[in-house]
Amino acid sequence: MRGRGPPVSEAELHGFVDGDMGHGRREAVQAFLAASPEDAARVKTWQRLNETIRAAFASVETEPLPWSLPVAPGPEGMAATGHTVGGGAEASGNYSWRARWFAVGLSFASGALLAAGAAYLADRVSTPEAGPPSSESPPLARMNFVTRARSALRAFEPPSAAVRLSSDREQRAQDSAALILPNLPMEGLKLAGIRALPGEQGQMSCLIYARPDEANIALCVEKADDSDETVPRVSGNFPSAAIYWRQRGADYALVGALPEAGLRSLAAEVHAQVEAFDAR
Amino acid sequence: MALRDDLNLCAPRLCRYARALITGQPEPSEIADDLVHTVLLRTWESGTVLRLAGRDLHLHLYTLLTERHREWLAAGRMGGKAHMEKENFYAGRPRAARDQPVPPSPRDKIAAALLDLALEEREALLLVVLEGFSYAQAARILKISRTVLIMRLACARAALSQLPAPEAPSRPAKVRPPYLRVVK
Repeated sequence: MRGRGPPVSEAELHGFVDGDMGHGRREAVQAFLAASPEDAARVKTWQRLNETIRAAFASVETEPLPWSLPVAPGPEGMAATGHTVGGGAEASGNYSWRARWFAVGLSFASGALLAAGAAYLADRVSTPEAGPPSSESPPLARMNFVTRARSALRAFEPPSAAVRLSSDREQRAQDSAALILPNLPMEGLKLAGIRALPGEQGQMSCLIYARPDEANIALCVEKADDSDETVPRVSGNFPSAAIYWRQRGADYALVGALPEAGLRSLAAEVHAQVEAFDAR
Repeated sequence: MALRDDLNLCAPRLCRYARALITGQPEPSEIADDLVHTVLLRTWESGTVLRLAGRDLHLHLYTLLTERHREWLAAGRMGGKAHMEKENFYAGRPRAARDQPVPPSPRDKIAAALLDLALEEREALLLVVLEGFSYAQAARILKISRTVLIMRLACARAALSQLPAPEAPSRPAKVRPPYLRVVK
């Protein structure tokens, strides 16, 4: 390929299309293309291809993100994609990131106690070792988890009948990866009881929280079949939706009749507590 | 700007790249979004140690995402999930429409063409064309030389030369009342 000056290479034609040219070569390439209609047509095709691909994906950058994608979701993180969280930022108030972590810290002490309780719970009930990690995690299984979380909330009777644990000590298994059950840091919530239900990967444990004159809220957790984390997702419609996600080797579901902003904010707090939990 | 803010700013572009890489479609994809989530979290966890910022952070995120995607593919984790997402995508269509062969839309053609490319070619093409990286940056992300990158680009372009032109924004056709005629 010859124009004025050094010959124009194929790489320079691609560079011309992608705006990645050496100094002073643009004119040489343009002159070459003017003299070679066949190459000019190829370059035109590549330019059209670039436009096609960019146009096809142009909407992604401006559309709402999955609500939990912002790192360390919380009042600030959510504010970054406020349009995606249904006003979660407003629900959480305007306190700063530092204040949020302070609040998390306060609630963490009780969360740690609950985690210890959960470890004891997992120790008391039979928790068979999970099988080899599955090559994939069928969403159906996760939806079953959410359905069971819902039924745990529905079936919850007064706190006195809440905890029914197996007394079969022979099936006790040492579980080094105890499930983390954080405290729900919402004003007016009171821990009403703990339910343990059979799960797909062993035992599903649910913390049931009561609210004065309102429906209960359940935070359920069970061992996941693999350790990969997923973003929180919504199942159902608000105000009776569930938010579920996979974190630190466990499936979590938060269920309760709360408005969207409230449930999302609560899920974000739980997520942050689990992330910050250090069992050592 | 704090690392968390930087990461959150990068998230939409990472989503775009992940979706294009995995499904060839701009629509939300559970796998792609999980991949982005994983990459953001890993970078967030190691960010204070690595002290990444600005362009380095950007390149690091794309490198991590590309590598993680390859790992998932190698572990055979993508096949079933991707198939299920594709089934769900088509399952939303009306029954009659599902029973009949649906002519592929330009967007479907783009997706199919992208997914037909070899992974290395798709990565190179998307990093340069969609994400706007320079050849040097894309080569750094893919850990290859500039020459190899351009070769992969050339192969991808040769394979995609028959793609349809971008969709122009549809404008409703003017309906002329039947009683009017053009009079010269």
